[in-house]
Amino acid sequence: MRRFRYFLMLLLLAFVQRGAAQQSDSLSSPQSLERKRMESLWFSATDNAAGAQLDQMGRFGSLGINYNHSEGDFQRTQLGRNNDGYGFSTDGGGEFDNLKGAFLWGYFDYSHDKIREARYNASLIDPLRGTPFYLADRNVSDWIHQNYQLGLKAATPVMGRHWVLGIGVDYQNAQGAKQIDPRPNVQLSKFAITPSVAFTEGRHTVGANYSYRSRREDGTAQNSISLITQPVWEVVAPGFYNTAEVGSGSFSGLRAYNANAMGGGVQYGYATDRLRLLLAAEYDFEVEDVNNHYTTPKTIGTTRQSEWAAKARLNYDFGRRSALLVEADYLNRSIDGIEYVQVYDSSHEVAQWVVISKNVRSNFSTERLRLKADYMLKRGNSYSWLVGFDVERETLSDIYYLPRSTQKVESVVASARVKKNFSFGRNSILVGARYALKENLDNEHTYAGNYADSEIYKNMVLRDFDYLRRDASALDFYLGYSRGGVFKSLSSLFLNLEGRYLSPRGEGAFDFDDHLQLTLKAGLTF
Amino acid sequence: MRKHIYNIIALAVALLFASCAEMMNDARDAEIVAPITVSFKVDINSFTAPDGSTAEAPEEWYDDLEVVFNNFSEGIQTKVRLAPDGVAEAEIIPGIYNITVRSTQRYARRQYIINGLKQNVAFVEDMPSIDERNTLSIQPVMDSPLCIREMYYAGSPGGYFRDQFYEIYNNGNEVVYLDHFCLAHLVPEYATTSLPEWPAEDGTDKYVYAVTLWQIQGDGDDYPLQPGESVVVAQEAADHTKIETWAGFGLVDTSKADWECWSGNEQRINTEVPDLPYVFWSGWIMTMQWLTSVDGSAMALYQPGQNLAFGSDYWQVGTTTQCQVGGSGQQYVRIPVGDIYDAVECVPTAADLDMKRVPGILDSGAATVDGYYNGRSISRKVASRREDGSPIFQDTNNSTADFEVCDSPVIRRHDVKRPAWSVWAE
Repeated sequence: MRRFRYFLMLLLLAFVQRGAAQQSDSLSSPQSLERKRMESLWFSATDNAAGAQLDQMGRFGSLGINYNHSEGDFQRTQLGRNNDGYGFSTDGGGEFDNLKGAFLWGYFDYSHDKIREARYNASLIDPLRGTPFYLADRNVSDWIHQNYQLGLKAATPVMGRHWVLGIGVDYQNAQGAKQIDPRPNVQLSKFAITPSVAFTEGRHTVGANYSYRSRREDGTAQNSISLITQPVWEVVAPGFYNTAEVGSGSFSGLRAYNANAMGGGVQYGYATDRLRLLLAAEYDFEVEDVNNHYTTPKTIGTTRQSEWAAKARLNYDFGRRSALLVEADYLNRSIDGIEYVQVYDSSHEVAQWVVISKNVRSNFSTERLRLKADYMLKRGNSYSWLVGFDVERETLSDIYYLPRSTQKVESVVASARVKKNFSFGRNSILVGARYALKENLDNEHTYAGNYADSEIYKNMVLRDFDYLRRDASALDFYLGYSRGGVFKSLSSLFLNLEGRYLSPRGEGAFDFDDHLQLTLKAGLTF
Repeated sequence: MRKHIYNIIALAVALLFASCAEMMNDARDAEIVAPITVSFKVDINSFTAPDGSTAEAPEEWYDDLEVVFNNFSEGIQTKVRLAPDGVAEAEIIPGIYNITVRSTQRYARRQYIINGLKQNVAFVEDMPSIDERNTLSIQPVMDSPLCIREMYYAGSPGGYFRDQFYEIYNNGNEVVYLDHFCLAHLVPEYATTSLPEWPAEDGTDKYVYAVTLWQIQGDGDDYPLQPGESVVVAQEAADHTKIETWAGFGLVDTSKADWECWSGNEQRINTEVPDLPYVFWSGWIMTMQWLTSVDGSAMALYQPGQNLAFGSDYWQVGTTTQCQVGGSGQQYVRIPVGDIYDAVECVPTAADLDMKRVPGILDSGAATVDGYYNGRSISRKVASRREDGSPIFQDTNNSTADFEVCDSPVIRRHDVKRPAWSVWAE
């Protein structure tokens, strides 16, 4: 207990006690933190907490509240049309001399969101998280989401001049409550632990991490008006489902998800005074079972997800004034949807669902290649200009094997951005914009199921396909004001406004409105 | 102490990893689905001819016989013609299937129903050879004249349910005496995949079991029902359209029903309509009212051939009653399927056909109004009309096909007549 109190005190000190002797260009600001994260390759691009020790991030922290709003229907059908949310977030940490140079960083996020006019979801907080097994209903409904997330990264000092051990821990707890029958109150909890190690020798560093993740999500769709049953689709893949009535028969309305994941990554880093290079490869394997009852469970399905990722980061300093930051990412994610043939053994001694066989019935894969480059003109610990571009190519391929139905969407998104950070003494104003164009390169959709005339197929599956393949443009803007030196320290107060205006281009089968997102955030950086 | 803590942590980690590894290995085993080919044999058993002799099914009865593989959970139906050797071969997706064979044939100037159902069969791999799992033996039955024509069980919006009724119709060409007929409420009362287990000596599909029996008692010729006539059995005979409760008004005027199933509620007696006595009631007797599930029950017309009495020595375990295996010893009526004149199975929704509880020989399908408290009823489809204009209703012992869903219940729709002896006859 005493050690725990000591840990809390240290964390608090990281927020509020900054050396008054530091130079004025050492003022902390949102832009200085943004730069710090861009330059801290191990911390930002890997799950290897041990590597964060080698980023030499100093100490930093932030604290903020935010309000966000989005409206317009140019997005996936299940996400709602007019959403509001607010939240609180804080993070902070760094290297602690009084812990013999150990690295310790933690975060806490809270958000509360109201999702309005969402459709075809009666079982998931995030219906797009990858599982094809969920309940969908006909009623347009609001959802209220509440989410808590906290975690830490910790690393030892360099031991024996070469070794660093680290660990990352994350915990999430969320609730989602649907506001119209059938209404589940979905509870989600997620826990992840990521031990890691790094070995450094001169300019070279190699690292490795292992990760374990557990996630539970469950909720029961129920009717508050018990005299009216509500039809639902028990979806197993887009366009493939079984029908049921909530409040009628033995349909439980429950979807209980239980996921376990294991993975790992290896990293290589090279650093000189001017150059920092990081190469990383990651693999993650997740299995999630879904069943419909706590006491006599019938397995609705299982997802088997394999994810490969490769990353490269290059930071090159052109002296003290400017730097080039290059990022390249490759992701290959494949989710198999496994369905079961089960019979209920009603014999007195057994009385449970018995699995006769199982097969992979569907696959949902994502392949993504992204290249990003930024040129930064530095000023103090922040930047004055940031100019960059970003190109991303994404291929989404879905298949339902029998009856064979496929969907493929291949798109490229190119964007350019610029940010200018004006400084007036202790005040700074950030102005920025980003423009992105999305072009569809190829698409196809074939459906051989029996429900081509169903509402969910016509209004969700085909609509989502139309959304995914539609050319689009996006204009982002950033406006920020910060004032440093508050509380007679290096801290800054800030107020940021970010927005995105997303427009479909060209003709399609569905009419979409433009989509607007706004985020207002105020807080302190340390 | 510290050592214990380490041991506990190590044990917890080991358990966590063991369970996680098992789950992942299970998932790794799954392979991509491929279609399978299954053979399915249909046998038509010998049957009782109109003159009482035993007859063999004529060869031509096998001609054009169609085997239907229904995978309800995926909404897939595969139809295959029977080959001359009586075997059908189908290419299907692995899954749980109900296999039905249905046809009507004539023999010695009478109509016979060829109706077979093999329920919840798991086909998960190629099945080229024939054994018990992929063989369906069908017992032809002579077309029964008596049928349940309309059932209103779902209740009305607001939750009113006292206007439930069952209309029994003579669909044949000869008079049928209703004396001794019982309206049987079959077990399980609520559709479920968790079907009860009955003693092995009862065999498969030889008996159905009832929780309540309401009997039309008479001397054998008291209640003649002519072709085209029907009688109505109401839960409570009253004009429910004028009765307002916290649940709103009812939808049906059953005040002129032929019988009501009064179970003992002194506050709700209609002296103008005769009561049907319950001659068996399994378990606790609900004197408030006799209510069948608004989600849909399975009902049958049972002819025991005599007047029965509640609590009499007639009821003996193993002969006229039976207990479930592993149950509390509660008894249910044990009814030979040969004594059933008609059975209608109802399920909550069309997706619940895997919850059937009635043998296929009696009802190879199930009717549904898709939900409850929606004011809908099920009514038999009109197949044709007699010379006098009275309707002949479809009765192929497949309620999925025989019934249509009506937005509002109607007694004696389609010009059905009331028997002359009815107290309400004009």
